[in-house]
Amino acid sequence: MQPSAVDVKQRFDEARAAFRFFDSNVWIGPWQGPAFSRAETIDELLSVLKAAYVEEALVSHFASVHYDPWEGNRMLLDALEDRDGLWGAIVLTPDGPRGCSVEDCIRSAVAGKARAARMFPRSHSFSIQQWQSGPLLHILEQCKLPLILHHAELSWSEIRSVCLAHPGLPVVVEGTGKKILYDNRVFYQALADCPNLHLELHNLVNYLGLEDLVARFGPERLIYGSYVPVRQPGAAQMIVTHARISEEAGHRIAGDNFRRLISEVVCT
Amino acid sequence: MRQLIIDSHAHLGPWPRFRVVDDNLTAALQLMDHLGISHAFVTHHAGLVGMLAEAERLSREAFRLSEGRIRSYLVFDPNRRVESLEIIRRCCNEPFFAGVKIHPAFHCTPADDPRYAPVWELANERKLVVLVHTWDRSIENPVQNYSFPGLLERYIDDSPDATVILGHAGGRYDGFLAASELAAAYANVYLDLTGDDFTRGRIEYFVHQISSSRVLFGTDMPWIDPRFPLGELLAADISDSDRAAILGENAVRIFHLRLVR
Repeated sequence: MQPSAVDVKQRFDEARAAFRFFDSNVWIGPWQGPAFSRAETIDELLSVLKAAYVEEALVSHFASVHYDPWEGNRMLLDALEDRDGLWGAIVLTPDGPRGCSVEDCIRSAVAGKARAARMFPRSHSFSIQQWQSGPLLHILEQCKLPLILHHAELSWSEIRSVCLAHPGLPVVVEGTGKKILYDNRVFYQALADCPNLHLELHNLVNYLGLEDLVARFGPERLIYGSYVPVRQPGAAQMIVTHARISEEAGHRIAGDNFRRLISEVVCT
Repeated sequence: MRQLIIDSHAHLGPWPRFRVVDDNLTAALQLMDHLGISHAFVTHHAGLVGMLAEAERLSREAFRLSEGRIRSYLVFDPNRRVESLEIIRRCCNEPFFAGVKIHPAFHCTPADDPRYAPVWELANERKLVVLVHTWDRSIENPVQNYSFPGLLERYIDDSPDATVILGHAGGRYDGFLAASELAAAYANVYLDLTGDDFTRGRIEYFVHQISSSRVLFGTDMPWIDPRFPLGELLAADISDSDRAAILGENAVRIFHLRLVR
């Protein structure tokens, strides 16, 4: 007997609640693109996350990408203050803000609720390579502050170089802005070469890809993220709730892997 | 009401652009079983790359091996019109046949090109399902401009007895809007939810603009894992009856499925 549509939906919701998702890819502020449904304030965002049974989230501010990194970071950290279960991912450039060293800014942000960093080499017109970003990457590595990169912002060769040059730095790659589906021949090799490389799930849509990645590399380097509010969080949740992997592996991917990464941040 | 989940848009076979983990039929059937997908309507990749007779053979084989759960679209290739039209004409009353597939971007032929006229005439005459790859205009991938939904209006207007599925519902935001406009204007036009753009609110928008009765669940496997579009649909803020229609009831109707319950 087939289950009804109501049953299928209910089972999915129960699984989502049971997996205690930590969403590593959440944004507030004004998104540049068109949208059918916007959620720009922290309260609107919380409503979306609650409906998706997300327990904790790592949040960035669109203004950090499209307006000013440091002003966006300030707005982000202000918005997250006193919000349980929400952590910040600040956006960094090698030159840093006026009147403050990058290192001081990072330490100050981590003293608050920042638990990860993002860099946008293409959009912010700098090189991720050692000759420009090496000192900044060294600080992040010292702090074990996870670095999140969009694959459309740099090449896989550059991502691999960052990982190899900074083996203590957790690097998480998100497939935002361009199909990451087509890159799997490349990122399989990069995962094999770089134990500190992680992949975020929201656009990791390859058919049977999750089971294959877990079988080859284990579940530890797969991170649930949704790109809320732009994307529907349920899409990437179901690849976890209905994965043909162990329950323990599923829980790691749903949130425990990222909880572990941010618990290891040491930036005193 | 008991519910089947039906995949209106999938593929079979290898594809060279990326590493497909497992492109064989058994893997697809196992995943369908895991997710409760009863039937899939597929296009074999051999048909897209000009191997039309081989695609026909493999489509028949998939139907037989799957005991009728896999039915196939046969490709109309505008660059091989005579051969593809002959195969579609010969197969269109057979049980393995689901409909016609048109892919303007892959065949580098705009959707409004006169070379498509014979297959639209046949589809209208025989009341066939026509699945068309549609996408948004793209600067990065300009061949997708050939698949913009608006280009199809002339043929849709001339083919009221065909059932037209706009694959990927237009692919990206402006394509979604254009596909919705076409579906709102023509009662024989359906949107399928395949693709890799799970934009929050798009399903709710489609249901509001054109009703759930003309939206179809699809997966695009073995490109996209079915759990992404299924999770998107199950999480969408729509009613249970709308969800049931999209999951399978609409497909039962347009593909004339006779279900054993």
